[in-house]
Amino acid sequence: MADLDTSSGGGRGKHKGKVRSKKMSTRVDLTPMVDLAFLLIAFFMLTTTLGKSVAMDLNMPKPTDAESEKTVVKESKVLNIILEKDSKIWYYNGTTVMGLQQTDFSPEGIRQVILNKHKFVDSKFGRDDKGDVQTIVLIKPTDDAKYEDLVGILDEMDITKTKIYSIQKPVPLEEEAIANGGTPAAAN
Amino acid sequence: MPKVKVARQSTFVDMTAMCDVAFLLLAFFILTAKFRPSELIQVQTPSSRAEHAIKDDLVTFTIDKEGKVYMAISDIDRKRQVIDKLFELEPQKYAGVAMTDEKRKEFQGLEIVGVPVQNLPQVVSMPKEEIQRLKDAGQLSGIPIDSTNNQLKDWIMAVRHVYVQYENKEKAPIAIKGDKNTSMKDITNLIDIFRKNDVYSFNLITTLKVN
Repeated sequence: MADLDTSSGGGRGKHKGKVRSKKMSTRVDLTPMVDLAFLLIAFFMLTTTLGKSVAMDLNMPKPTDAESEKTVVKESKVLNIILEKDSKIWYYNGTTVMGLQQTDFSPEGIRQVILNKHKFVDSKFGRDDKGDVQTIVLIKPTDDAKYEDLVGILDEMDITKTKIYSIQKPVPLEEEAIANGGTPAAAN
Repeated sequence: MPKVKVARQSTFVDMTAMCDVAFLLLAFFILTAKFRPSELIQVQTPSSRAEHAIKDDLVTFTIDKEGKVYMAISDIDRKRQVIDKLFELEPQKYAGVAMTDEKRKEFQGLEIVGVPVQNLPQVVSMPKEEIQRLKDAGQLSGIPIDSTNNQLKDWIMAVRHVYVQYENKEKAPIAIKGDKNTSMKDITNLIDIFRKNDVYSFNLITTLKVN
């Protein structure tokens, strides 16, 4: 190790008869101490970054009932995402509540759904002036969903670079549809 | 020919210097590490990839698992201005609340507003441990948000007025700190109250996701 004693054993060979007490080295092996110090450094470095609180920006529109302020959008640009309890996600395209499918928060789940939608919208409408994808995502958390899910889906918006999204209340037809396993009762 | 003796080199490495450096770094990290202050209301914020650092001057509305809402103002001058503004804006509603100048000074030391305004004069004089005990006993009811007695609305108005008046800011720096298990029903309700009072942009406080 770092502190090997290389002195030859006390010089007993030269002076026979005389017993000399072995000179003790004043050197202290500092290796364990350094180990400990670095361990603590690692601990403090990790805890300083782990506990960091960060903020996410959220802008909501002004509530309005005026018909004139409502924006008409192309139906094929719209992707609806409904957040259900137990972190379940339902999604469907367009504005008609039909053919709801279920997915989850894994990277192969909702992220892939959004990216596929992006591809579709890109091929049909191209990019806008700023070069952003034109998909419109409507996020509809049900009352049973958790706050964590909302933050999770907002995170996905950031990951998939979706610029146009809004948080809305799910309409009764949608709630009915998810309770019914994908299709609203009226369609049956 | 004489033998060339190779001087035996010591394998000893002096650890002192390394030890010095290690402890210097250690001291640095200990001093700069900010442990999260023990918070009265403990919520587990969800993690996200968002990387905005939170501002120093912030009005945080904490919403816990049960949907109770608490308010914390980080700047103590603002705190005083907000409490003054609250009584100025709603003189009738809070007419019976004996919030004297003395009590308002004490309010500046209050970490978090978690009781109805009517109970404030009593709570501001309590030591921190007493408030903690109240909290543990489940007697910290949060700011009333039901439609019949919506005091949150009054606080939001006071906060907005203060930031417009003293800081010339268009919008108050409002943050929402929710527990990850808070039901979306409570969150939507809270956001709706904000929107009705002309607050449209928030910071959602999250923990940095490490991956």
